[in-house]
Amino acid sequence: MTPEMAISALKASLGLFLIWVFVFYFWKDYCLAVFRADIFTVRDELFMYAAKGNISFDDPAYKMLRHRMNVSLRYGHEFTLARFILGLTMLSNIGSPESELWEAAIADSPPSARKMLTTYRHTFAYSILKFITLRSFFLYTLVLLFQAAGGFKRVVKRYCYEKIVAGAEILESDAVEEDVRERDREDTLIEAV
Amino acid sequence: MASQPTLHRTEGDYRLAYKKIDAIVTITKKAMVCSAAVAIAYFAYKSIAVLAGKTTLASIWLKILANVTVHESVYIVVTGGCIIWALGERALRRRTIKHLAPRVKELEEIIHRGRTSSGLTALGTTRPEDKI
Repeated sequence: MTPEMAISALKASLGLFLIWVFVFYFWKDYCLAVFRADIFTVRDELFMYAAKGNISFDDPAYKMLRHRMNVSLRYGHEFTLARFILGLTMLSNIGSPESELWEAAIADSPPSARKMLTTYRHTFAYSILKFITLRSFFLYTLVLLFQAAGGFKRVVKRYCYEKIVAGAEILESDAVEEDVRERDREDTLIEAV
Repeated sequence: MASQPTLHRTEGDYRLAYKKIDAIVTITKKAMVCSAAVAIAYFAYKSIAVLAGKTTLASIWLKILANVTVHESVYIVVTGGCIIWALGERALRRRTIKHLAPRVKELEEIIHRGRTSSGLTALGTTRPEDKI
C-alpha cells in the first residue's frame, strides 16, 4: 500500500466512523424523541378529552391507557422490533391478560367514549410500531420506499391493526413489569434508609 | 415402542423462552455494532501502520488536509454545518421542554389533582438509572 492509498483509507475510516456514530447513536436518539413527542401528543389529546367531561379521570380505561402511555414514555428505549416479533410469535399462544383487562375496562364506558378510547389506543399502538420500525436506519430506508409505493399507515390500518395492538401490548406489558420492579427497588431502598 | 409423554408448556415456559431468545438477539445486535466499530478501528490502524516510521503524525494530518479537494471541502463544510445545526436544535428542544413542561404539569394538576407523570427527566430524556 502506498502512502497515498493509506491516506485515502484513513479518510474512508474516518467517514465510516462518522456514519457509525450517526446510525447507532444519533438516529436512535432522534427516533426516541419523535416517539415520545407522538405519545405526548396522544396523551394530551386524551387528557383534553377527559377534561371536557367526556370521560371521568377516574374511569378505569382512562387510568389504564394513561398509565400504559407513561410507562411507554419512560421505558420506550427498550422497545425493539425483535421483541415485538418475538412477542407476537411466542406469546400469542398464551393469550394476553392485558387485552382482557382493557376490554373489561372499556366495557362500562359510554359507547362514544369507548370509540374514542379505542382510537387513542390504536394511535398509541401505531406510534409504537412506527418507532420500532424506524429505529433501525436500514429498515427506515426500506419503509421509505414502501411509503412511496403505497403508504405504510394505510396498509397497516387496513390489514393488521389487531396484530399491531397485540404486539404493542406485549411491549407495554414488559414496560409495566419493569416499572413495577423499579418501584419495588425504590421502596426497598427507602425502607433500607 | 413406548409413547412419548406429551409436553404441556405453561405460560411461564413461553415467557422464559421469550426472554432467552430476546437476550440472545440483544447480545447479537450489540456484538454486531461493536464488531463494526472494531473493523473501522482496524482499517484505520492498518492505514496508520503503513505510514508508521515513514512519516510523523503531524505530517499525516498535513497530507490529509493537503489531499482535500474543493468538492471534498464542500462536503465537509455542509456535513459539519448540519451536525452543528442538529445539535443546536436538539439542545434548544430540550431547553424548551425544561422551560414549558412544569407549566403544563401545573395547569393539568389544577384540573386533575391525581395526574400521573411519565417519570422522564426535566429535559424529557431517559433517566440514567433506566438506561442500564
